[in-house]
Amino acid sequence: MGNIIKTIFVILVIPTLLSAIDIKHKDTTFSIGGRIQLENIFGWPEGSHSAKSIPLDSVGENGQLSMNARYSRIWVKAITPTEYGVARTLIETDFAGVKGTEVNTNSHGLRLRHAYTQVGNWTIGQTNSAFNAYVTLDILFTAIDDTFVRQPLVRYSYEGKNISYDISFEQPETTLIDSKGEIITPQDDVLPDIIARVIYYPEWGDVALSLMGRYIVQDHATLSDGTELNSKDTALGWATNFSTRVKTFGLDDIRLGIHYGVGMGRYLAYDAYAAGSISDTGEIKLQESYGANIGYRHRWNKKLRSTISFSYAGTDNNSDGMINLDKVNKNVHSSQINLLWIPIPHSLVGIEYADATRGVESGVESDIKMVNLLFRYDF
Amino acid sequence: MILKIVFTYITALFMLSGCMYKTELDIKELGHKKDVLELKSIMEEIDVVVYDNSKSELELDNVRRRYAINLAQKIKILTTKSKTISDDELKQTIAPENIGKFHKYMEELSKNGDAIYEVANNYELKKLDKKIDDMKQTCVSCHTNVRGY
Repeated sequence: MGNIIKTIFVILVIPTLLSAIDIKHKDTTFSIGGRIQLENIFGWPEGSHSAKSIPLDSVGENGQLSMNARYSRIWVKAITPTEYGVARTLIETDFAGVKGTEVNTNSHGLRLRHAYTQVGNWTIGQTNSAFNAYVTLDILFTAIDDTFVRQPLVRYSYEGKNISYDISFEQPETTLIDSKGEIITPQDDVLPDIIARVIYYPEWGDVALSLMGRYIVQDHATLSDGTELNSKDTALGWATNFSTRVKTFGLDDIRLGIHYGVGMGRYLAYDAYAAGSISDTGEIKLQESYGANIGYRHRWNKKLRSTISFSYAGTDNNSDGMINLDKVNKNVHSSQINLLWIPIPHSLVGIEYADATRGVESGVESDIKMVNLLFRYDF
Repeated sequence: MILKIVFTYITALFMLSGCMYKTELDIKELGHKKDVLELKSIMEEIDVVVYDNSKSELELDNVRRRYAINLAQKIKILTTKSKTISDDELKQTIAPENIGKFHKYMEELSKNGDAIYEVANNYELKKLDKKIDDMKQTCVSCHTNVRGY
């Protein structure tokens, strides 16, 4: 009986205590928090809801149940008043690093998510890119066209009453697809990706627009078959990302995201598409990528809400002369619907159904259907 | 005959002015209801900020802070508006003996708004829930003890 009480205490009370604890040292206030998250995902067939990993060769498979807590996380925040304004710092990790085996202990590795500080108008460290969509869909699986990158950066921000501006210098990483249909990373980048963003906060919702410029480089790169090139080539890429949320009836809203670019590459759909192609002689040719998502969120009441959404992403590969076209992602789309419940504050129980289709350059298309039952508690 | 026309005209004027007077009150009441709905809407937005999975903790704090400052500004507008209503106008919707209480609650609400602004401006967002609860309590007390609903 004593053990049961202790277990209940650990599960219910400790997170509550942690959420209430601030540690003050001199002028700095430290806060400790985090998240416990359990995902229960059933997929038909086995696979993931990602533009580059929906399986193409799964005919006849009935699916798999997979449970994981690897996206649980812990963070430490610090706030210190300074002569330049409040200095705020965040270090955050989760357990989505090296994946453990499901056979015995499910020992997933720690992974750095955020490590950055904000002083005055400056942000320095690793965090979310300014190119990321400011408005995202309220769904459990991310939108299939998600524009999400987390990387080292230096950013200057200006906050107005209803508007904010950012100019961000972020880690570059060129990704190019070679004639074997493999995406390579030459690691020859010399200039940061530069992103300008404006966010407007009117009474009726939010609007954000980002514009990015990139310097794409290969300098004696190594192709996927091990060939070392004896050449250098460069190209200027650009991309734009628009997202908005418009309030409709009651607490409902409609959300929309549109992105387009030439050389957008890894910023769209978790690196499903390259920034461009690289020929066998090292010539770079950038490619167009694009995507959009739309979702309607309905609040049934204070504790229950639902979103129905559709998302799409695609690219125009320079596929002339390319082989292994089954590996070359062409487009993807997904429809999702969910029901999310807040049983107690800062908790979430949700169920979501997703039906996604992936197409590759060879013309093959494959479909995945997934259900995610999620339990989450933020402390 | 002329007297009849004048009487009808004057009666119509009185009725019309009565209607207009009521309409002004109705507008003020509707305005208050609209303000309350806006405050509720902002508070509900603050409650669901934690579920935005794409933002970092500091970004979520920025969103909460923006909503909180907006909430404080709306409270400021609401309480400032209340000072422009004369006691005669208040008597149309509030019992005369409750007018003093009404002003006291509005003063309290104004202080609640200032406190919300203060914690938001200094990024002391852990204190925000408590400050919003204080504000809700003031609203509930005023509606229970003054307005009677």
